[in-house]
Amino acid sequence: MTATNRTIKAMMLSLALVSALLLAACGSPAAPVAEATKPPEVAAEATAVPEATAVPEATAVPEATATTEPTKAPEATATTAVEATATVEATATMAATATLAATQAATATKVAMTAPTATTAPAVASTEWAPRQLTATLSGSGASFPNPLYQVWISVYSKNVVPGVQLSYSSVGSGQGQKDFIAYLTDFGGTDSAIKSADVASKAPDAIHLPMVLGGVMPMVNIAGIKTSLKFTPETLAGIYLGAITNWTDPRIAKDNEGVAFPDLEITPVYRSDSSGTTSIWTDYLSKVSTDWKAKVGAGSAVSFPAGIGASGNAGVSATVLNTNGAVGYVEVGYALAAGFPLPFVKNAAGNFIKPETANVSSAANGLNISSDPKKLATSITNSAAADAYPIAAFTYVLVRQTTYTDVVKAQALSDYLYWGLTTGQGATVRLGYAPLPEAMRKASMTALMTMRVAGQPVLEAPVK
Amino acid sequence: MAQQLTPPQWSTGKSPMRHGDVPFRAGTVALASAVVLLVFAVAGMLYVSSQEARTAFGWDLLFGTVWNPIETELSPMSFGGWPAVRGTLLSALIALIIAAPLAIGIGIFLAELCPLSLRTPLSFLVELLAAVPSVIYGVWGVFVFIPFFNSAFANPISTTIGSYIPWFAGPISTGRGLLVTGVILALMILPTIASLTRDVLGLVPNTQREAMLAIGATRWETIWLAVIPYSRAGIIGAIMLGLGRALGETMAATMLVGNSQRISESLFAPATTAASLVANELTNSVSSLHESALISVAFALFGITLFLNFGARLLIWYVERSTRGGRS
Repeated sequence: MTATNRTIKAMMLSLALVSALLLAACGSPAAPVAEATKPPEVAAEATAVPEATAVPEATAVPEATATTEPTKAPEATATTAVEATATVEATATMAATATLAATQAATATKVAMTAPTATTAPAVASTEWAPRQLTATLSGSGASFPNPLYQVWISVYSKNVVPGVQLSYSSVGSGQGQKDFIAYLTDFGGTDSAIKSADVASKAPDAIHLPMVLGGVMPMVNIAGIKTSLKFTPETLAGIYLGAITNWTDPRIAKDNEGVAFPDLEITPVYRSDSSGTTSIWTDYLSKVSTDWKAKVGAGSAVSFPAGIGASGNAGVSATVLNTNGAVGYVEVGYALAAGFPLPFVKNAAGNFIKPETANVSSAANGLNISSDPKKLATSITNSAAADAYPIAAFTYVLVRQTTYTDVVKAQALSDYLYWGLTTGQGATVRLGYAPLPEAMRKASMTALMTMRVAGQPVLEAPVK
Repeated sequence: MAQQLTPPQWSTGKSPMRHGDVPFRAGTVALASAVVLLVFAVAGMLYVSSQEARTAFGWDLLFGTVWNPIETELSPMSFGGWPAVRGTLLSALIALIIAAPLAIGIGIFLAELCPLSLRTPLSFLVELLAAVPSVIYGVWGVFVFIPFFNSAFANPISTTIGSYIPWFAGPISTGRGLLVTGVILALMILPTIASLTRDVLGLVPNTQREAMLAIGATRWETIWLAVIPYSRAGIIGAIMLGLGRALGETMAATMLVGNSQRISESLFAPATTAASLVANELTNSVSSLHESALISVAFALFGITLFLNFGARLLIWYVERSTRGGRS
């Protein structure tokens, strides 16, 4: 009896608690509760913006307006900026809340206040470029490969460059980044592989892939007693991962590494168990250099590896390699550098053994035939023909929309940030183990960025240099 | 517990509203049906999202042995979930075989034999073990347990017994595989089963023990013939809860199982489990068919847990039905 009584008591108590909570939530119009509900509304508004009311207009408006703008005097731009925010206010009326209007009013006054005083006022088409001091919240998601770099960019940019911009990037993987971007959940996406052309046509016709930075993938090796940089040819790498080369004493490995005394040890290939851009780059390379690999395994972010074991993430692969004598795994160069691994040599298409150093990774993008179509910048650069190129390299892209942004301030803030990433931001790449874009590609990327339009108006005009 | 309770008659002639009975009843019914609806919503979502793969592959999703998301000249795209389903069942079985006897032993010790001064700290520590996040078990497994397991167990076993029994065959390269996963899973479910067993044994009325002691039974006979049979259903429930955790464990399994879709007879060879396969590949699936196939694997996992829980219910019902309070 006591047991049932106790349960009844407990249930009554919980019910009382629940009802009290309910009362507090909806019954009394208490000030703190009302306040607490406001910010989500703003967030909802932010994500709801790409309803794309301006799409047909945007495509219809001729580009002539773009060319007239740059002639305006610098001081006039301050007023245009204010006007821009005003138009946003008008377009956003469908879901405009009091708070939104308030923040935009704040933006407007801020621009008005800073513009006359600051010497580096938002410059249009002058040689001096500085990001406009806007207030916006931008969110992105995608590839984990460039995540460390993007986090550094974001923290520097929103702390020191444009404090009003709230940027966030969540590293969820290229595939998810593409999905989020296509579903208009994010303002920009990050991806290591281009959206499939069929998907581009049907789901994201105005997506631009902006190359941001280059990265390399390298094999890392753990053989007890061997600390020198090993040399690999495409054939040995493919052979190891196909399970055809199973011992370190294999003559095909020894041939390239004269003077290295390999022990009689089984090779354990380690691969990424989670589908990842790193695997895409690695398998794309192996598919290009080995017909066997192409026929049996193929290239993709998750493939059926014929040999070895899988570990999750760069950290998982490197921990597994470190724990296993005779293991070889592929990791991002930046990760291996941070972990203090010797860089290996990989034979490139020109027949030279090249270490994945920054300059050599950058060289992989040299001699590319860059498309003049801003939507077709994405391209594979593994097994590059350049003589000093490290062969296992790839671009990582930021996805932006060419015409379907509706919020002018957002689009301006985003394009400023990306422009900054393509100029000042490139300086941070080497330190973090990435390679900066070669000049030609960087310029192509900037040009593509500047084709972004909101309601037919260009959102960024800056020197391509 | 022992005496049959008849539900109290609450209608006292007064208005039911007076004690808030009607809203109380409505509230609890709503909360309870929300849980049921949630289960159906999850099942429905899994069913709908896995439709594409199920129409393309049918039962091969469960029993096919080749998992290849990328179509190439020589290897067609194929989504066979058997390596994952097999890995899940085997690793959970290994975990259960190791953990159940140990955990029941711990539970009996804590409830029946432990000196009072030790009981509280020991119980606390066992419960603490249950609160350790699975990723910590995974990390500990990778950096501490696997190297130890390889040198102390896997290598000697594979070179001796392993040459006769294919289950323990070498070679041991990294040591990751179903056996290691099962052992770590056993550690993870051990505290769950142990603390539940202790609680269940604590509910056994003292009259049961006193009756046994009065007729001259030893401690062992008291526990084995009176206490355990009385709480059999509860212990089975505890084991099933542990099994549920072992089946669904994702993080530790991913870190320890080796994530290879190839089926090998050896328990030392890398394998995969359904939960880790889904967690690994879903975020970055290469095609909608791939995603759908992964959701089918999740659906299969859902089905397996549901089926096992149902089996456990049946078992408990069967045990409850048989005579209580010991065998004659």
